[in-house]
Amino acid sequence: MNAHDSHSPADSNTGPEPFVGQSVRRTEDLRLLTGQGMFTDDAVVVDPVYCAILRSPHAHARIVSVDTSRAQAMPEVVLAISGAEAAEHWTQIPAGMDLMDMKLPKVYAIATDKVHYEGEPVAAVVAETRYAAEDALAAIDVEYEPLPAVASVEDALGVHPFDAPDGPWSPKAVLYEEWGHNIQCDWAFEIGDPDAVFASAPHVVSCRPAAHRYSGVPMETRAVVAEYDAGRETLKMRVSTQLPHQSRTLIAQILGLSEPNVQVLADDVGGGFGNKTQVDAEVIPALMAKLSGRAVKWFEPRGDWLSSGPASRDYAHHVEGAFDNDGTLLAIREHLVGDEGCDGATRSAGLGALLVGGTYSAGPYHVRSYKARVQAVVTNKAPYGAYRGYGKETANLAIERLMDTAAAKLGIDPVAIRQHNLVREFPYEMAAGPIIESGSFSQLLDMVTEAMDLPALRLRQEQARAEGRHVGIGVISFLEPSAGSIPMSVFNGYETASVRIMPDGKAMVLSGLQGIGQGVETSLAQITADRLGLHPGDVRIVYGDTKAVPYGLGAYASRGATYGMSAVYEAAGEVRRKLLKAAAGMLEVDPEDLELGRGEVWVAGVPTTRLSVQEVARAVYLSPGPYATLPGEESPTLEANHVWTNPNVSWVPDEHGRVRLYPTHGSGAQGVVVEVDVETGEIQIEKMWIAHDCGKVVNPAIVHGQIIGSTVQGLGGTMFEQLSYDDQGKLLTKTLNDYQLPNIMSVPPIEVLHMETPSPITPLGTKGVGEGGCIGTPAVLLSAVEDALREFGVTVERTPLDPMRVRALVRNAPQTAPVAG
Amino acid sequence: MRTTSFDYTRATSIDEALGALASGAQVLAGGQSLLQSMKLRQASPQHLVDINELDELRAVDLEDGGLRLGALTRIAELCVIAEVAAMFPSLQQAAKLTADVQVRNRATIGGNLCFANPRSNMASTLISLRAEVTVRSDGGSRRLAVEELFSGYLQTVLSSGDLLTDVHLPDPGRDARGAYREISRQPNGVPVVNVAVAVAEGRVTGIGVGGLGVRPLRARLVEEALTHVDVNDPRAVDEAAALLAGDLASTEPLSDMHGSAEYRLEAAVVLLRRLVLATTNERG
Ligand SMILES: Cc1cc2nc3c(=O)[nH]c(=O)nc-3n(C[C@H](O)[C@H](O)[C@H](O)COP(=O)(O)OP(=O)(O)OC[C@H]3O[C@@H](n4cnc5c(N)ncnc54)[C@H](O)[C@@H]3O)c2cc1C
Repeated sequence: MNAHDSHSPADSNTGPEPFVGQSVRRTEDLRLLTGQGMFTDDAVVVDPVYCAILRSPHAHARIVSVDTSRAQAMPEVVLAISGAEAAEHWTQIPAGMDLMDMKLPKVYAIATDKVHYEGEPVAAVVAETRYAAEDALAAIDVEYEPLPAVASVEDALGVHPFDAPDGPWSPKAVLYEEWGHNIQCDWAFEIGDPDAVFASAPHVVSCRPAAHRYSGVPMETRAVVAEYDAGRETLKMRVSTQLPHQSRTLIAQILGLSEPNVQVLADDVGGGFGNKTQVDAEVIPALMAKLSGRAVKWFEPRGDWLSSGPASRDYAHHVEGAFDNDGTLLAIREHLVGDEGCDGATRSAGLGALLVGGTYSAGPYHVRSYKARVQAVVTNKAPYGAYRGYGKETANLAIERLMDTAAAKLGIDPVAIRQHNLVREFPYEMAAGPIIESGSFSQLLDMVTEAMDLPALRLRQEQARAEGRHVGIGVISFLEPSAGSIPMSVFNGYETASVRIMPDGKAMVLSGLQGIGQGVETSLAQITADRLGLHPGDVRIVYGDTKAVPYGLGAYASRGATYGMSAVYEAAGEVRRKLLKAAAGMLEVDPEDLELGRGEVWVAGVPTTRLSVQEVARAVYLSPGPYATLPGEESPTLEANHVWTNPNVSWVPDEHGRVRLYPTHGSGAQGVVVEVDVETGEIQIEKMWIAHDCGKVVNPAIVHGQIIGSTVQGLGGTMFEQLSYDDQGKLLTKTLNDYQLPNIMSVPPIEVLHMETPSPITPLGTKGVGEGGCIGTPAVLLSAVEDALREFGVTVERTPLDPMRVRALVRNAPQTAPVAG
Repeated sequence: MRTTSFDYTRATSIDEALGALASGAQVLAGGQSLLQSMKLRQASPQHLVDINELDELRAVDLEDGGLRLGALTRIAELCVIAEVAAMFPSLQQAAKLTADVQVRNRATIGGNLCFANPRSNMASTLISLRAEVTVRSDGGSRRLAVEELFSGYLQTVLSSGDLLTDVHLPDPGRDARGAYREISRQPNGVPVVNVAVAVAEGRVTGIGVGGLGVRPLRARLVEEALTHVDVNDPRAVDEAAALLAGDLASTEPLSDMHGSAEYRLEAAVVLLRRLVLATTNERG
C-alpha cells in the first residue's frame, strides 16, 4: 500500500490539488529563524522581578530549619520564602495521574519537612535582578539532618526484585513514611496461560536489557512569567509547557484561584519532548507574583534542569521468550523494574512509561500468551517524567534483544525470525490488549534490508573481519503506538477544535493542541485549507491561550495527528457543509453541485458561475446575514466546534486487567552499520536506515524532520547522554560538558524511507509520528554492536554504549578473539 | 545562572595587567572556562583583568628554529597558521579536535594551559613537543617546561600575580613528525584520554598524555624505553607503552563517569602504541 492508492476523504473533497500530502513550508519557521519567536522569557512585562529557587544539596534529608531573614534583608530582595511559609498559601501538588492503585506522594512545590532528591526546592526569592536573586540564595540558611540516601533499586528494596519479586524488602530508608516501602506501583497481568506454554516450549531464551537514566534537554528550560492582578484576582502566566489547559487547572487548584481567573499562555515553546507535561516548580513564580504584587520572571538555569527536571529510562528488564523449533514466538514473560527517582506520578508523569513498557513488549510480533509484572520503585533522585519514547523504547529493546537472542540460539537468520513472527493481519488485538488497527510491518522490514543491501553488507563484514576489524550490522522492527490516552489523568483521550471562517473569507482554527516545534501551525492549516477550499496561508491556527481556545489537552504522546488533526478535520467539515449550503442558496443550485477550491466555490462544470469564499462569508455574517443565507440552521454562522474521541481506547480493565491506552499504531524498521574498535571500545556509526509508516502523511517534510530528530535523540541517549549519580544520590552530570548531547559530527547519515498505511480509525488515515527514532534506535544500536562483537560471545544489553563500557564487554568476554595491531 | 559581581579592568599594557594581577585580579582571556565557572558560581573572583587588547600576546614568531606563540593565540588560529601546520602538525590536529568552532574562536592557548584541565588537548601535545612557557609577574620573568606547569587537578604552579605570556615550541628536529589522538565521547568533546607523540629522524622525542592522571603527563619512562627498542616491532613498542603505568605513578590517577582509571590507562596504552607505530614508520 502506498500514498496513491490509500483512501483519503480529503482527496475527494478538495478539488484538484490537496495541500494534505505536500511539504508545505512551515509557517512558523520565518519567525523562529529570524529571532521573532515569542518564548516565555521574551515576554515584556512592566517592572518585573526575578525568581530564583534554592535547591537541596542533599539527596535525602530532613529540613530542620530554613531562615530567610538574611536574604530578606538584602537591598534588592523583594521577597524570600521558605517551604513552610509557602505552605500557608497553597496546596500540595495534585497528582497528574491516579490509577492502578499507585501511591501518590503528598508534597509541596517547595519542600516543607523533608527533601527527596538533590535539587528539590527548599526556598525561593524574588529580587530586582537575576544577579541579586541568585546572590540572595547564598544568604538563606537551611539546616538539614541528612538521611541515608536511597540511590538505587537495591538501596530502595534491600534486594533486587529479579531475585525476590515479592520481597521481603529491607529498604535503606523509606522516602515516604506513610507508604511503609518504596514501591509506587506494582502492576501485573497475564493472559493465555504463559507458564504452561513456557513449560512445554522447545526453546526458552531470556535477556536482561537495561537502560541508564537520561532525558530530553530542551533548549528552553522551564520558564514562567507570572502577573497577578489583586483587584480582579486574576493570574496571567506565560509557561513553557506542553499542556496549557491542564496547567491552568492544576495551578488554579494549587493557588486556590478560580479557574476562569487564570490564563495560561504558551506561544513558542522551545522544546517539549514530553518533558513539559507537569506542574511542579512552575507554580513557585506564580505564588511569588501573587505574594509580591509584582510581575515575576523565572527562567530555570540549565544545571537546575539537569538536577531537577523530569528524567527518564533508568530501568532493568528481565524478558523471557518461549519459541518453537521453527522460530515461532509462543509466549513472553517479562518483569520490568523502573528506578523512578523520587516520584513518577505527582511531580511528573513518568510512571506511565513503565506501564507502557510492560504492555507493548510483544512489539509488532504475534504472540498469544503474555505475562507482565511492572514495579515502579522510588529512590532519592530527580522525578521520573515523560520523554519521547515513553516506554515504547523499553518494550522495543526487550523484544528486539529477545529476537536476536532467539535467532542466535536457534540458528535462524535474525531478519528471517522477525519476518516469521511479524503481525500480518489487521486489525490485530495484541495479547496485552491494544488493537493495532493497521500496518505493513513485513514490507517495512523488506524496505530497510533492501535499502541497506544486506547481502553486500554481510560480505563486507566478513572481509573486514578477515582484516581483524569488527563491523556489526543491526536490523530491527518497531511499533510506534501513538496518541496515548491515560484515564484518571491529565493525559486523557480527546481533543477539541473550533473552526471558523471570518467575514473576510479567511479561516481561524482554535486547537487544544500545543505547538512545541512539531509544526502544527502548518499541518493543521493544510487540513483546514483542503476542507474549506482555502490556501494554508489564509488559515490562522491559534493554540496555547486558555482564554481563547476551548479546553483541550495539548501536545504529548504523539497525539496531534490522531486527535488534533481529526478534531480540526471534523470541525472544518461542518463549516464546509454550512459554507456550501450558503453558497448553494446564493447561486440557486444544490450544494452537491458545487465545487470548492482556491478560495472559490463554483458550479461543477460551469466555472463561471462562482463566488469567492469571502463573498459567501460576508453574506453569511453581515449582508444580508444568516437569516437569508443559512435559514433553518441551528448554528447559522461559519463556525463549528468538535471534540474528537475514538473507540479504540478502553480504560476499564478487562477480566485480565488489560487496558487500551493507544488507539493508533505507527511502525517502522531500522538498520545500522557500526564498527567497533575492540581495543578502545570506540564505536563508529557508519550509516542508519529507517523505514517509517505513520499512516497518511500530511506534510512529508515535517514527518521527515520528526523521524530524524527522534533518531538523533535515540542515538544520543544510547551513546552519550547520561544523568549519572553517585552512591549518595549526588548528581555527577550538572553541566552539558558532562551530560553529552549528540553533536552534528556524531550523527551518521540517516536514510529515511516512507510507507503509508492509513489508519482506519482517523478520518484522514493519520497516525502519530515523532517518537519512532527514539523507540527503535537503542535496539538497533545494541543489536549491531553485539553483531560486531559476535566472535567474543558477548551479550550487549545495557546502555550507555560508551567506550569504557564497550571495552569492558570485550575485556570480560567469555571468548577472546585475536586482535590486530 | 549569573555571576557574582566583580570589578573589571581592560588592560592596555602588559605592565597594567601585571599591576592589576599583583593586587589580586584574575586574568580573563577567552573566557571559555573562566566564565563558565563564574556563572556556575564555582569561582567568584572579585576583580578580572581582561588581556584581550594586548597585542604583544598575539605574536606568532619564528624563534631558534622553532616557534613562539603569544598566550592569546586562539585555538582557531592554531588550526590555520601555516607554520604550525608545517612544523607542528600534531598541534594542529589537537587544535582541530578542541571543542567546537565557536569555542575555538575565543579560547586561547594560554587560557587552555592555565585552566589546567588534565584532559586538555593542548597540554599533552605541547608536552610532547617539549614546549616551554614564559611567565611574567611584577617581579620579573621566568621560563618553565609545560609539563612543570601543572600541580594538580585544575591547578598550576602559577601564583596569583603571574601572567603567562608566551609558549615556545623548540626546533622539532630533522624529519620531524608528530601526531595527536584522543578518545572522546564525541568528536569535539573534551577527551577521555589523549596522547601526543613527537618524532624526529624516526626516533620518539616526546610523549604527552592527557586524561590519565589528575594533571597532564610526560611519559618519560616510555620515552626512555623507546630509545632502546626497535620502533618497527609492535610487541616491543607495546611493552614500552605499557610503562605508562609507571609514569602515572608520579601523580594521582583520574577516574570519573567517562572513564575509570583502569580504562584510561588501558586506552592510553593502545593509543600510544598505535601512534608510535604510525609516526615512526611513516615515510614522506
Ligand atoms: C563546549 C566546550 C568544549 C571544550 N572542549 C575542549 C576540548 O575538546 N579540548 C580541550 O582541550 N579543551 C576544551 N574546552 C576547554 C577550552 O579549550 C578552554 O575553555 C579554553 O581553551 C580556555 O581558554 P580561554 O582563553 O577561554 O581561558 P579563560 O577561560 O579566559 O581562562 C581560563 C583560566 O586560565 C587563566 N588564564 C587565562 N589566560 C591566562 C594567562 N595568559 N596567564 C595566566 N592565567 C591565564 C584564567 O584566569 C582562568 O583561570 C572546551 C570548552 C568548552 C566551553
